[in-house]
Amino acid sequence: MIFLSLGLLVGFIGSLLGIGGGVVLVPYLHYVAGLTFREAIAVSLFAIVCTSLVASLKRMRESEMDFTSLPVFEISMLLGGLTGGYLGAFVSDFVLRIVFSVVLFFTATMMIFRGGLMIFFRPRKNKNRRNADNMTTKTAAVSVLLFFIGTIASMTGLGGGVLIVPTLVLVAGYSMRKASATSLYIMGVMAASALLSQWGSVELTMADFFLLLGGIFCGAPLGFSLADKVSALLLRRMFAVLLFFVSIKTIWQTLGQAL
Amino acid sequence: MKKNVINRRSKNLKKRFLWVRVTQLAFLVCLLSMAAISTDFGQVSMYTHHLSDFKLLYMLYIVFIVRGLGLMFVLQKSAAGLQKKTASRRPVIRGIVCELLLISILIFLAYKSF
Repeated sequence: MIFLSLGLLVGFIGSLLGIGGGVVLVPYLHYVAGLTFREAIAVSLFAIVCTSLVASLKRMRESEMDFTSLPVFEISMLLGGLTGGYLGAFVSDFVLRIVFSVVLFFTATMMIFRGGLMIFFRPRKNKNRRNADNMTTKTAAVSVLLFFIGTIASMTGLGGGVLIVPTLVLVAGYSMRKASATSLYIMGVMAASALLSQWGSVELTMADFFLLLGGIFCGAPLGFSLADKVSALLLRRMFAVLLFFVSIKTIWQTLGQAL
Repeated sequence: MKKNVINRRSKNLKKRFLWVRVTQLAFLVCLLSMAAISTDFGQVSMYTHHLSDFKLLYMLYIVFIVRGLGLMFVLQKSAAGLQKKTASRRPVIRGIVCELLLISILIFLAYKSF
């Protein structure tokens, strides 16, 4: 029952604030449910696969997806996911926790600002979209960036949406809606490849695992229904403060154990 | 007249995203099978497992291969549509090649895992 209620809460908060499951799930599973850090990451990766497969259709219908670039981005994320999966399983807990804390701290900082990473850069207006060479260069640049994002995301169990969306908007010139839909689509393959490379060796109690997933799927619609009625920015900022606290606590604990 | 247009549009959309629906269905089957096996088909006795002990977890590969094939089908159709138009077919062909590569990697990984 604890896991079911956890899942409900995670699904609710995730959809209410418009953030991926990983940011909520990993700290919650580790600190509240008492799972080890690696177990929490493995569960989070599976939840990302579920979210990507289930929610991407709705987003795809709403936005005009660029199907021609999707396979290129997917390959980058797949390779990044595999690399991150192997790295995550072989690096020490110390490195894993530090990388996680840094990414979480960065995510929290981005949640404080209304436009996220975009407030520091201005998206360039893409006048010559039809220029095939220009688009090829952009797609190549985005692919390289996505490989590194995929590596970090699969190492830490975070979806990487907070990094993927700005990359697509700033480098590829996508609209926010299109970038968000594309991000949701491509992060599934990353999480699956990470899960199947090394994170699969993590031991889990399957009952808890399925109760948690069930909770996420039931909690998400509740959050979506409330999302329009409350001030999302205020909630995001409040949640960002909590994330700051979690990331600082993780760093503090990790350094305390190491020293 | 308007209703006809809307109906045709929604039918087209349904057709266009049919492959995503198929993927979702495959995933649901995968998840339910995993749940059924982990609960000993109804007897609620849960064990602690390695995720990789579940061969059914490897069904995830199949799910993504199905999704890849669906996307490739959509791209192939749009490539055929572009033959008569002046727009460049290069991005579409690149997409098809990349999707083929992706599917090959997934098949290789699945083969290695089994």
